[in-house]
Amino acid sequence: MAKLPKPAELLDINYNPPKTPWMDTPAEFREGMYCHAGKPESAEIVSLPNAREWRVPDEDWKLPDDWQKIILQGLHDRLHRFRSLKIFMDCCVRCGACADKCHFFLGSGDPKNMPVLRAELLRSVYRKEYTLAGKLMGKMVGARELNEQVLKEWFYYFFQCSECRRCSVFCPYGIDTAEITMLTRELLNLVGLNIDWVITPVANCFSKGNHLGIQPHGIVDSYDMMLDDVEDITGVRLDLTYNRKGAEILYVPPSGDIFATPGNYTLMGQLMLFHELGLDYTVSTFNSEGGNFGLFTSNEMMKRLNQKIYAEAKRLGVKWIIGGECGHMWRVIHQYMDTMNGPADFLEVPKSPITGTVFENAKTTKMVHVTEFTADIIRHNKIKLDPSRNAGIIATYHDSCNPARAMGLLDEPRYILDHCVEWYEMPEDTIREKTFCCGSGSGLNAEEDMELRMRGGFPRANAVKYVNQKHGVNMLSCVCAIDRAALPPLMRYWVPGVEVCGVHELLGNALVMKGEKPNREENLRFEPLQNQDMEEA
Amino acid sequence: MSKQFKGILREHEKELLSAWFEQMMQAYPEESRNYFKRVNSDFTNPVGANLYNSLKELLQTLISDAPDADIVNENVHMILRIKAVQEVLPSQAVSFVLAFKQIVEDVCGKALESAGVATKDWLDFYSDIDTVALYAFDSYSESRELIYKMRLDQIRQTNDILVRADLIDKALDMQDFMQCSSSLDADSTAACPSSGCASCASQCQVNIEKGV
Repeated sequence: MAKLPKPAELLDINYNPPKTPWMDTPAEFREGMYCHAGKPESAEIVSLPNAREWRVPDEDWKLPDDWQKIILQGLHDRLHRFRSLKIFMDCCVRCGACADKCHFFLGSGDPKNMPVLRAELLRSVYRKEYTLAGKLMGKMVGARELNEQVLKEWFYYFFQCSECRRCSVFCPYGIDTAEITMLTRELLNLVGLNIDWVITPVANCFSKGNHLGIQPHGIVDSYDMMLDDVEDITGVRLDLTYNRKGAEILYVPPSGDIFATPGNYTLMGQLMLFHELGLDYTVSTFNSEGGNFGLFTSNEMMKRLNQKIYAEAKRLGVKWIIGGECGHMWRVIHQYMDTMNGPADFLEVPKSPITGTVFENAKTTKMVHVTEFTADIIRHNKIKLDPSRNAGIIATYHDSCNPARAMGLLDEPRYILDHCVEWYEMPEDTIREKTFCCGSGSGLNAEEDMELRMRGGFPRANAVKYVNQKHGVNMLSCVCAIDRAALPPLMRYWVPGVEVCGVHELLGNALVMKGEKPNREENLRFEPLQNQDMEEA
Repeated sequence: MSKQFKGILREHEKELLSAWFEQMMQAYPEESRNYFKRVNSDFTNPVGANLYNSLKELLQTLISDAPDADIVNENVHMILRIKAVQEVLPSQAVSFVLAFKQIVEDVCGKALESAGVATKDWLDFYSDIDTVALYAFDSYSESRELIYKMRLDQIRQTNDILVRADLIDKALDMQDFMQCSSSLDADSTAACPSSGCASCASQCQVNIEKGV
């Protein structure tokens, strides 16, 4: 007969985590903490190895017989190709500066979510294979054999890292844990271990140009709907051309802004701005995606997907490129593009045709972030903005990880907000280069890992809650399409009443257009403008 | 409830809070507890700070002469929002409330006994704790239901986009989806609809081939 436990015993008995050392504690796969396995048809489209049906909860992952050899050879190759990886494997002194900087650790308390320990999952195998001490003394010096348990642990925890790089900001050696995650995911891909939320968007992007696999006519339909909406709201029919050869600028948004709310509102704001300026630009129905889930797969895949942007720019004969409010696309452009597919010498150094500003920061990639472009327009007083049209909206700004940390885009979005809306900063430790991740980056924005996303996003949500209570903030603005998909459920769970938008949605609301309706009544969401209520009152 | 009973609890407020929070911290791995105990870092330690502050406010109202249901609800809700995404059983998530009875006995049992408080006072106070436990159960359930609602909403939203783009030919049939969803559980014996469905056609196909 089992003794009926007291409430405190429930806490003490089961709730306590195992006391075994981390190496002897295998990953326990919990539903809600991992994503579904990649579909074989998607893996086949991009020629990834070991394409097969498999399921994460299954015991048998249908690995190739020589999977250990493949992984170790893969590690060997990469240690020779990437000096950064070798340094990252060798130079960590386990000072712990990164330990409490990861949002997944802060939300869960799982030690294997500490960046140092997550990296140690790979480093322990490296030690066993490449260091004398590791070969001789094994676990005593933090080295261990690669076995199936270790491989599964890699899968579980390296797909619990959103590659946001907050930890790297605090590392005294500059170890980029996101790159360790990227390399480990690359190794996992060698034996066919990937998640569907990454691999199917990759396959779609490769074959059809965007993550959802929407074909060119679907792209045109979606843009048409947005143009209709803008016309209903403003009375202005926007000029928009598709695949127009000889345009000065190619504009590349993340496809999430073409298909889904609230991203489409921010895209509408950008199209309105371009129209108002009379910009000579075009959009491509073939290269309809700025996002690059290759970043979450392998270096080669990232290169393949990035290349299409430049191939399309070359085909259309444009001079330079404006990229939309996307997140990880900017890490690829600013940190990898130049040595993968660049420099893009066939394009010109971006120069704003409206202000004459030359974007020196983009002189090799030839690609300018839309908020850089817009901030420059406002700085030169080239558009008329009426912030009262955003009355009723009290905003804050979430620095999307990759634009903030991978390209240093910190002030331009804030400058735009300054001119469009009443807004407040979140606390210092949670913004700018120390920004907290949405909890869903790097392909973790699936539905099946919602618990993981909610706890990983808690540090961000907690800061939003603070400004919500202190200043009445009801709108969380950002410059990343994954944020715009991930933050609405995060707000719904932690800070109900706060909505999510792109920065250019607020600009679109405030933009006074030539030839617009005498009294604009609605914002880009077809909600009544509250400034009219104020005037009537 | 006599003011004397609550007065003794208020005299021990600090120790009660400390013991209650310490017990809650036992839930986390040893390596993590030290981080979570830095409760003054509201923004860099949101779990620790929110658990601590919520327990503190909960305790303050419970030991006041007239506990406020709104304050109880608000703080219990915050704690359970956190617990609901932290891989614990429902009983474990809410057990911290009932475990408080033992903490009261451990921290101020002797003081209460020597003051000769009436049994009715004990029972009244325990009854308040039971109410808090019921609120906690509500919050836990609501949090879990919300997670599943959000999962469904995301599936619906993606499905709507694909239907609009003619990439799939039918809107999501939620009845099919729920059956398929249960079949994704390896231990489940629930059958997939033989035709498969828009939401997880390939998974259905796998199960059909397996003869599930």
